[in-house]
Amino acid sequence: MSETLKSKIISAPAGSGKTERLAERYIELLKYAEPERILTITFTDKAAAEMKERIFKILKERDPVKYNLIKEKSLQLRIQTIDSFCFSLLRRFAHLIGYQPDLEVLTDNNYLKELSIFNTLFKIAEQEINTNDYQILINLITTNRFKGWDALRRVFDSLFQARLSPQRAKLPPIPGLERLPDLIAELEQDPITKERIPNFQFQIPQTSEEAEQLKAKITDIELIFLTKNKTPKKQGETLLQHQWNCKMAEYRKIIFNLTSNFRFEKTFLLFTNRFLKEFEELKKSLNQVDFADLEILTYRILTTHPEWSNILYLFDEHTDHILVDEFQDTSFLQWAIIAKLVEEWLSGEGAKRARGVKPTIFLVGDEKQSIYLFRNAHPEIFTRAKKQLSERLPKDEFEYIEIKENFRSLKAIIDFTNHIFPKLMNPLTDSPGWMTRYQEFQCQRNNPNHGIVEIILSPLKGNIAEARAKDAELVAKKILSIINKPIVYDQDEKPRPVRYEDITILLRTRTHLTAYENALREHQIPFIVVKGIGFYDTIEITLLRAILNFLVDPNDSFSAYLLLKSPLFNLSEKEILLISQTNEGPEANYLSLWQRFIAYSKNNNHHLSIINTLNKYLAMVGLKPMSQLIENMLDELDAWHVFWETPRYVNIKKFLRIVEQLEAEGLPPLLIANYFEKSSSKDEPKANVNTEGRNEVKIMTVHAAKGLQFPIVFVVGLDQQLTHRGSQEDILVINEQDEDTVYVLYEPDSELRKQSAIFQEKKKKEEEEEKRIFYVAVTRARDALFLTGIDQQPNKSDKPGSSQLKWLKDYLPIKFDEQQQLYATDTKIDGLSIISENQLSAEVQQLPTTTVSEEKPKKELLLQPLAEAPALIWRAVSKEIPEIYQEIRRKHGEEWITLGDILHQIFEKIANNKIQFELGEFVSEAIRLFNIYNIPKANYQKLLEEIERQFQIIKHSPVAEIIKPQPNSFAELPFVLKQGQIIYSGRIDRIIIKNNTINLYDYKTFPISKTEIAIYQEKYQTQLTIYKKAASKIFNMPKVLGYLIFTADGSIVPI
Amino acid sequence: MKGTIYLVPFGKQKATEFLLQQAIHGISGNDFSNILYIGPTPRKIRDAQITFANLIPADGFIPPKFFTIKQFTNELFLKYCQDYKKLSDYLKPLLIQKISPDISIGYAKLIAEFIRETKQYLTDYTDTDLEEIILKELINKGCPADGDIYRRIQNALSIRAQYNQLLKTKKWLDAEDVGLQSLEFINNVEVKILVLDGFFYDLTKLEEKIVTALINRAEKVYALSFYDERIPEAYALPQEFLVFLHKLNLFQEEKISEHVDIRSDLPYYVCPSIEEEVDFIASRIKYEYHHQDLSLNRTLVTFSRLDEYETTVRRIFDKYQIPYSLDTTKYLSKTQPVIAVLTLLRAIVNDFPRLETVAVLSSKFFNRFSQETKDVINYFSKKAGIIKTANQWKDFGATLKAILKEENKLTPALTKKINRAQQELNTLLVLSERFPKQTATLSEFTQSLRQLLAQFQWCQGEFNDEITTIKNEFYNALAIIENFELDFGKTLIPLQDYLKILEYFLDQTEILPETKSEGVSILGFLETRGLDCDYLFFGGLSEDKFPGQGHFDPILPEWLKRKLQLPSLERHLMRMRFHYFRLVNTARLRTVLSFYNTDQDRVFLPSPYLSGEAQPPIKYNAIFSQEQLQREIGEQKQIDVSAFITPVDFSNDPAIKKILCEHFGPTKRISVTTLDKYARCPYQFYLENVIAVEDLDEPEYQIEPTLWGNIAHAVFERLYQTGPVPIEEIAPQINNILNAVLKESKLNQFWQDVGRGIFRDLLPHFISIEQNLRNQGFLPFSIENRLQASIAQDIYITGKIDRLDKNQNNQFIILDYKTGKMDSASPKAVESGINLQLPLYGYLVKKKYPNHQIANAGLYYLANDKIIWLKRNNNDIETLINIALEKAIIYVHNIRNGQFHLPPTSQQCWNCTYYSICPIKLNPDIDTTTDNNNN
Ligand code: SF4
Repeated sequence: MSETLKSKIISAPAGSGKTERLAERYIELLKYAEPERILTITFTDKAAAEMKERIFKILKERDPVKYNLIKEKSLQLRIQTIDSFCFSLLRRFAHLIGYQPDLEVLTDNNYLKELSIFNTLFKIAEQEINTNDYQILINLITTNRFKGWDALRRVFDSLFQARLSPQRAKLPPIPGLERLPDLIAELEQDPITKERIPNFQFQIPQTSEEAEQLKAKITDIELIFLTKNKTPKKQGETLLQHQWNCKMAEYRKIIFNLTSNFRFEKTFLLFTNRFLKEFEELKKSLNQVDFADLEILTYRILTTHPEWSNILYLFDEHTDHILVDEFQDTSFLQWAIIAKLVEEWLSGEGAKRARGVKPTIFLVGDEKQSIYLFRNAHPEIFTRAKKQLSERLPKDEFEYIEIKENFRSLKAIIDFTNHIFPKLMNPLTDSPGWMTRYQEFQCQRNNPNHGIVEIILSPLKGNIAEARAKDAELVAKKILSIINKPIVYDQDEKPRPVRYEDITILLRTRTHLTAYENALREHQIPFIVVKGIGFYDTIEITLLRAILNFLVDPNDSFSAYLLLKSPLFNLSEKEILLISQTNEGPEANYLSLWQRFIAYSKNNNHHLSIINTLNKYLAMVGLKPMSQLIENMLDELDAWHVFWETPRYVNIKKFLRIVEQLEAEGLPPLLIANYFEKSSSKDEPKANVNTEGRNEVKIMTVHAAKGLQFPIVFVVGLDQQLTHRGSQEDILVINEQDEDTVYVLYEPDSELRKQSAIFQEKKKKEEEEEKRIFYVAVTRARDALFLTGIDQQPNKSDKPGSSQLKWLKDYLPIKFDEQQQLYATDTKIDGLSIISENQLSAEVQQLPTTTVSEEKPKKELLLQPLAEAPALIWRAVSKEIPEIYQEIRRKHGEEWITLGDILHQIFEKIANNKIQFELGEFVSEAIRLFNIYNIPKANYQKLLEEIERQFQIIKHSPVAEIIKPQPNSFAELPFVLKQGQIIYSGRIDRIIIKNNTINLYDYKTFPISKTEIAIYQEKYQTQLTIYKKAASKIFNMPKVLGYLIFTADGSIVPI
Repeated sequence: MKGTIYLVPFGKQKATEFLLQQAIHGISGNDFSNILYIGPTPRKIRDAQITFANLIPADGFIPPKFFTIKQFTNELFLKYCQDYKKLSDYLKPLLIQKISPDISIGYAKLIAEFIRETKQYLTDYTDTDLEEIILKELINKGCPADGDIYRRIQNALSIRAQYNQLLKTKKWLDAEDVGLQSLEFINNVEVKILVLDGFFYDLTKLEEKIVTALINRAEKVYALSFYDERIPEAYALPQEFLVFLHKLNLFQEEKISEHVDIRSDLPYYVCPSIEEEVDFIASRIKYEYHHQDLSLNRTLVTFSRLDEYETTVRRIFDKYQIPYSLDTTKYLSKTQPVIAVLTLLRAIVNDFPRLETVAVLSSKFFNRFSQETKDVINYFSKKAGIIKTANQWKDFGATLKAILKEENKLTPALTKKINRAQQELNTLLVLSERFPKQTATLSEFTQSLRQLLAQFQWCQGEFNDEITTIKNEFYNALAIIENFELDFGKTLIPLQDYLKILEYFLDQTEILPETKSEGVSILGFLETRGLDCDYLFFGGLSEDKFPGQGHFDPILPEWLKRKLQLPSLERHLMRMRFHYFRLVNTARLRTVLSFYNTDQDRVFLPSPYLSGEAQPPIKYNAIFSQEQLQREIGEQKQIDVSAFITPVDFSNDPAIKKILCEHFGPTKRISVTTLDKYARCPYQFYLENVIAVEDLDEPEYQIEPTLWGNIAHAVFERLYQTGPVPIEEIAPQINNILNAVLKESKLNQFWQDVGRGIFRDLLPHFISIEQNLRNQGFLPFSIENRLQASIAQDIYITGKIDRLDKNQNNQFIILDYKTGKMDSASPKAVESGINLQLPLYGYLVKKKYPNHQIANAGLYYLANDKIIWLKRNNNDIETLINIALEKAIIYVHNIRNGQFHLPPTSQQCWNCTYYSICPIKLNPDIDTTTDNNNN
């Protein structure tokens, strides 16, 4: 069979040209299948876009005809993330799960989340008094004594985000639980028991209370069998006694575990479920899902609604071929969804096979690059998928391939990797699947140079901050020493001098980012932080938020303080302090800095002008878009003087764009401001600065560098400890086991955590992941790799494997010559060296100092506003002058406007002899128009009365004659009049030509008093003049008489 | 032949002028009312009118009639229709909901779309015909009749049938019916000359019928189409139009040959963000205006999706001071006064969440509430810890007063303000209370809403015309809803649904923008149909937006649509392709194409129609706006934005020091807690205690920590008020006292129960600690003992000692109750100046009771059942007191000296609200970061 139609799993390590393979596979598949039938899952939107681009590029060269065919439908090509794929399915299946097909994805679920939490709490606290849940909630809150709800918040947030539906969330199994009855029996019979704890009652607790009580009892006696360190006593014990101690310890451990489980189940799980239920209902009522729902709901449909496959067929949305990129970052749930899609054909008898379609699956990834544990990515997915496919597909239809070639890095880097990682990633054969094994790879680059791997270490004694500052200094110095040296190679493998843009600094976490920024700045190395977080912590955004907050609530003193102090107003700290001390005024009671400022600044012109400026903007809040208001303010206050730097500038623009989007959603200003309050705790990335074409060093995290490669890579902070310390995450485990099971446990008690297998496993998994992160970091480098760190002397923590440096020391290994202060290794790798800070400093000192200053060309000033008179101006002369419209509205009410329209139409019909001048016809035409105008039934009576009244008045006045049909007359005559640049167009109510004179009438239907007539004569002058001119031109008659007809009282007024 | 079709190439300039010229040929005089011009868009109509006026030499004339098809049929309806009402498009979903109450408004919209399309394209089928055909097709395709899809389509069809029936019986017409009806009325109009100014190819079946009727009625017809075969893929659509016309057998073709170059493979500009794309367009316009022959009036700017670009475009064009016209429709729901109304309803629906309620109360548009309250309500409610529920609001004033009193901030003036705010809030609550909370009819809700708005004096007061218009339109919209219900019957719906309906409805209700016609024309892509220009800027050309993929259809599969000749994806692409190629070829001088390729994490590819070379946006060596000028200056001067963040140090400023001395000087007594706060973080102390600008967080579901502190203190104070209590009586007494204290606290039952729970938990521990103390011979001696003493010349400190225990040897133990989290009280902490409270208390006690000794002092952590003792092992309290005194003296001097720049002793900077503006960051010696920040 054709290679293409085999299903494959490809283990493709870093640099093995994985994307290329996927693209090639896709193009091959196009020979057999319509593009709509091929589903490609990528890890990010960005990767999807790049994959598409790649495919188009290849296709355009090789098969322009096909290229043209599919390019227009590029949006239909299903190269997408699992999220967007799930969303398209959900939309199609929405009704199966109680949603409507127009469901939307909620990008920010924070608001609904808060709402559902509060709704539930209020319900329990105010409406469910003394119920079970009420009691439990009180107990839960009181466990933290006075901290109230706040202390529980983050746990619930995490549980919430993990979306632990009651079906999926399970308590972790307790190792040894099944042995408990035997254990108890053994212990009960043991004479040592009778001797040492004669009164102790062994039991298996069934409820939370029992467990808690038992735990307390065990705690009381535990020092009988445990040492202070909570290990079974050994010293001074006989063998039998020691065995008894061990058994007791085991019993204790199981009971403690049980207690944790009970506690958690009764409290957190219970409330999480209630919150989620409320959340679900809110979402359903809004027909929205959030990101976390996408996969869960899709999976739910695929497993519980067998109709899904039919539906897809009927809508022509089924899939024959699946490709998955970065397979190692797939979660169990995601894999379950994919597996579900292919299940039918895996079973070998599906409808597809019957129709002669041979479906395939193609998974590409690298276990060693699985670094998204916190998003439920598990490297063992590889093994699992491999097993499933090889078991279920015929032999000739499935293949597992391991690639060894590396097209990316130079030999030194590959040798280094091949040296370290086999030792680091070397699990025992029966280790769990989440421990990855390293496979060596081979350098494929055609370059005689070995490249560079250099480890730079500085011995230092100091605290964390000092260590990082020192490390950053090493990096900066090294960069200075390699810049312009010919150690990077172009595509053709020819060396060329290093530019800043060739260099990327990879950080394990962003924690110490500032240290590196500072060092680079200090050494005048241009750099850019890629996807830096901390958007909300930047000065510019802090100030913009202050502006926004101030505008929605000037009494927000903190924002006012910031604003006044900021470079926009530049008040000195002293002035602000003086302002804050004001105690003038009638009440001498100021709520806020702003109020004090106003009171204080009465006689200070500078301050008054600040107040005026701010008041001006305050007055516009709600009347003008907030984004525009802020930008105007920035302009007016010369703010760009201080925000000139590009990263700041783009951050501000990003901020304004978010404001704009919130406004477009219809949020009132206060809620817009609040959005930023809430989000300030979010890790919002800074705005992207286009890195292309900027000759700057890039700084990013290893996670952000995934899938990328760089000529020169710095892996920094080798010495940093890889284990977390005491964060909230540490006391909560959310461990995805498979698609249906997530083990979850919250345990604030560190002693209980130590006893818990699941907590211990979590720790180990994280350690394993650290190894992979190191692997990913190292393998980003093409030509040169620099690793820097601080070699703490003496090493504070000597736990094995606790830092990357430790790994290198153990596995390279690294030797340190105290006397010479030099590092060395016995491992022979061409291009590998280990240098100390002193050596580096010597290198740097030899550098020639050059300064190049470019003269910038002067910029042309094009500030003046553009203006251009239009060739022609079209001016529609409406029936009524807008200002008078408003006046009528104000004085008489909205109905009068409609009434005017209706009367005009009736008069026209009479003039054109379509209806008679009779009350009956008047009324029936009016009612016809009421219908058409959709006038509230309630108003009919009132309007009809007025129409009738006017009819009676007109009937008995000369107006009647004018309205009625007659020769040489026109009603609602359209006209165009050109006067210079201006073209007027409109309609004239009534024209009667008699005796070579045009009599022109304009109906006014609203009530007026006699005194107003003169005013209206004046006001309508211009309008009537245009009418008269137009009529005169059209009929070629010089004599035109104009009149206003006030139908409300039947008067005719000449103009 | 009465008709002529003029065929012009893409890119032909002034085709409309040419066509109109043909039409007036032979007409003398200045009455052109016999000509009927049909064009594709209102904008094109406006242009054609000007073109026409330009063409006619006379200064005044009776113009032809200019219409789009829709305008034309509406006009006929208005003139001739008897006894019918028109169902606007946006009422359709409401009607569908009446027919099938359990579908959402969103789905109803999709069904409405289904009805609209089938009525427009399948005009000849009755409801039964249609059902038969469609269901047959489904069965043929193998769709099981009990299957989900079959049922769904059947359901949609049945809704369609009921919908049509309802309209008929109630005498309403929808837009499609109006079109059909107009066929009858066409005989009433006189059309001698008909001008079909092309560009509205892609006619629906219904439109074809109307056009056919018009052609039949006219004496002469002039039509315009294209023959450009150089771009065959774009040519398909006009060709369809030709086929349609030729079928009538009334037309001859005339080719206008003119050589116009075809623009394909145009280069395009790839910008890194939407902002930069619009910036590029604006700067290019401005640059070429100055340096090339760009005329603003002949420049067209369009975007694949104008709605997405609108605000950005307005903002940037304003900034560049380029005059433009941009008439996008504005919807009522997005206007500020209406947002205020919707916020009010949301507040009611969700039981008065803080933000929504504050937004209502402080809104400019509700005149009922005083400016004074508007000013303070945000701060007040935040401070009072309001989250939501009418219940919380009802006594927020009392809560707030209690809190402020505790902080010593409650003054009579403030009390007045609070009372007033509470009063107005009560008004809001009471009036809103009358709003039906459960189910009611649309009209009932609407009436209540009207009433409520009147009571809240919505939009009353000094507002501009725009606001008045919005107000009127809003009330009109309400009237339409009521009228609709009057005819189609009432159904009870829950308040939540009413809100949704209203939101939907206002989302659809347009308010007409002012139309300007100056400068550059900025138009939505489809609005450019039929227009030509000199310069064309076409933005937003990324794959995701252009050509797009039509709307999502949950009802009919694509294959079925193709079969039924309903608009399908293929058709959509054909249409976009044609308009795209026509448009890019239409600019006389230049076409500039662009898109942005990133937005946050998303990346966009170029539209498939872009086949030229990708280029970065041109960076002109010029300054176009104030903003750029300012940046330029900033860069030249290398201004540092963080320069304003300077350490706060007034030590060189005698004036300020004088002021500080008014608060903390020799004549003032300084409390130990004040010193403690300063020690914890001088800058924070400065912000909160000197200039009083604390940054309040959004309230959480909890009781203010200070309130708990008070309760706990009060309980223990009363316990020993009259001297020691026997151990065994502690428990019952505390329970009694606690109940009394809780009652006084005015907390609701839940929090009272929490309070009882906390005490139930801590009581046994408390007792055993008491027991311990007594075992050592200590008995409570005094409680809440206020002491003061001078610690140096000019320095008086005061302190309130929670509890003093004494033994028979005249030794004291000082205890301070803490409800917060554990702090260190170790000797080391004292040495580093962190915790001076205990030793300073010790000093005060010694001063007051000279013949006594301090055995120990401890912080009693009620949350942890622990006393942290100052004296451990064999250190000496005396030494600690001396160290503390030294430190305290330094602190006092520092405060008086205005030194607020010193590093904090125990605050953690990384989770401090002030971190982003705190000068501490400038101090390199302090590690302000943490270690648990992942990824
Ligand atoms: S950041 Fe640190 S120094 Fe600054 S106010 Fe906060 S705690 Fe004090």
